[in-house]
Amino acid sequence: MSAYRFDVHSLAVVLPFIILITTGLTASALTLTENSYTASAGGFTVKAWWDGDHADLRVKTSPEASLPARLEVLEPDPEKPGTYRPSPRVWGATTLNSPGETILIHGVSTSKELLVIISTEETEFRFEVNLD
Amino acid sequence: MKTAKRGKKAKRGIFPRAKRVRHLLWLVAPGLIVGSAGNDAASIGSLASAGALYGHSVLWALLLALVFSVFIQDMCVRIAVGTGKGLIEHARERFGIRVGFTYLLGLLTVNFATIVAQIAGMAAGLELLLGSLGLYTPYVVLSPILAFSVWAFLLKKGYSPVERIFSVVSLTLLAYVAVAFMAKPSPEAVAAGTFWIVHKPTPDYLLFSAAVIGATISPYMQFYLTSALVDKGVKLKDLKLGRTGSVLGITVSGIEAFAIVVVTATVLHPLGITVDTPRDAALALFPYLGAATFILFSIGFFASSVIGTGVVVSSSGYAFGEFFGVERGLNKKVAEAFHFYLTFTACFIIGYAVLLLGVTPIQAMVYSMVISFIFSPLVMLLILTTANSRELLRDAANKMHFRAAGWLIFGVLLVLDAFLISTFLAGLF
Repeated sequence: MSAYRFDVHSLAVVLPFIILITTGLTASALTLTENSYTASAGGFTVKAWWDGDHADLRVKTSPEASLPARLEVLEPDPEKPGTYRPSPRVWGATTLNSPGETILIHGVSTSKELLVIISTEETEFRFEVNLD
Repeated sequence: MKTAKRGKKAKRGIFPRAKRVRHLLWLVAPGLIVGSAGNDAASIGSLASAGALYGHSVLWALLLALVFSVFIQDMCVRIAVGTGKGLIEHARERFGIRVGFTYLLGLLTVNFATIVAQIAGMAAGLELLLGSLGLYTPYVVLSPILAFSVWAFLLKKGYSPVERIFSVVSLTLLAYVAVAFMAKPSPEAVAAGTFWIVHKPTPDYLLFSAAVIGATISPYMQFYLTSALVDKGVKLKDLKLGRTGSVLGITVSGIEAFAIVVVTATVLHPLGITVDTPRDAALALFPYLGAATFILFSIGFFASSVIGTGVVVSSSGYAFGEFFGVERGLNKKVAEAFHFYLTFTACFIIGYAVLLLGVTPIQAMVYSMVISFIFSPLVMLLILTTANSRELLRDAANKMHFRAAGWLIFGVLLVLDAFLISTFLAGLF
């Protein structure tokens, strides 16, 4: 326990790390709030965050949304500029079935630009996400 | 007669046996921990990626790497037992301050790059695990919290409890084996890929096979194993048990590594899905093997990164202490082993600061592996020349067949190193 007496040595070891961790937590909070995107259309709310090295995506379905709906996530194709390809981190398309349902996809893409498409029987909603 | 017998039994009691078992576990623990740390985030990424790209055909490289590891780590045990000194101490004493410092610098560089990948690995593993339980916790928040928690845990608990906990945690990595069984691999394909080169030896395939070998033999493992055994004060009589512990650790980690390759080779390779990181692998496996697999994979990935973090930072502290001849070890107080704890904390600080500056985990993994590859033959040379010395190790020194195997491994690592570095440089220009 004497290792925890705050002598000069302990302070020299502990203090820089505490300062860095505090800075890190502040920077993390800023990243999550600054590099985020929220938009709603047709009863669907799309929220995305930049989480350090990947984007996380959350899609909320409200009771008035027309269901079932198909959710697709596309990212810019690095080989063909100006075009999009399905994100290799999402296994194809996901179906939204129940009102009030929330889908959370971790690591949806490593790109900060995303195109989220929600297609119902009547309409197609396009969300152009930019997390920069 | 009966009473005398009972008396003798009572005198011997069950306690000496329990003591022997404790002694066995005490000696086996560093080997087990090193083995599990070997399957760190960077290794899992390479293994999963190789399995997804080339299927079971890279398993022979893994088998070869495991055989190499048995020989290399056996020599580390011999050095620790025979001389009571760590590898950096040997480098300094035998080859002078400049060479010793080069080894110290090399190890710290590898460790600083590796710790970045380990912290990122812990955070990504826990993020996936919590996510699968419905608790969204961002990776950027988890990385500082986990870096701090592991640092504080190691600092507060000291070596023995940490070793016990890490030994138990290392067994959770057998989760990969459960995942491999769930994938229902073909035994014929696994056997063919393990004992024969079934793929056409294209440069890319050989590069991945070499990466599998490089990923399995990380320099910090050898430095840690030697120093941890020296710190325990092992004697010549402990040689057999120490060697057993090392082989046991490699066997367990080898089974885990095989399981990782087998699962991605069975599930992702036929579908043409490629992965770069353990996170990618876990996400890609989810739709095919289900939530249980995803959770098991995340547990394994998180646990190996936690153990890897402990091993990397401890090996840095030990190395610094050995070079400057100062007090070292997690059992010492901060004031007693100030430089050990300073290096240990610097490792965490640099690792986390690099992540904070925007280096992605995949970049960190690539850098740590490239630096490891460059450093590996030099480390092997140090281990080999030390373990071969009868003057230093006396009865614990390498026997003739171990010397031959050692030089053969050194030659293979050197060729592999040249191949990987030239390929890496060719990719840059």
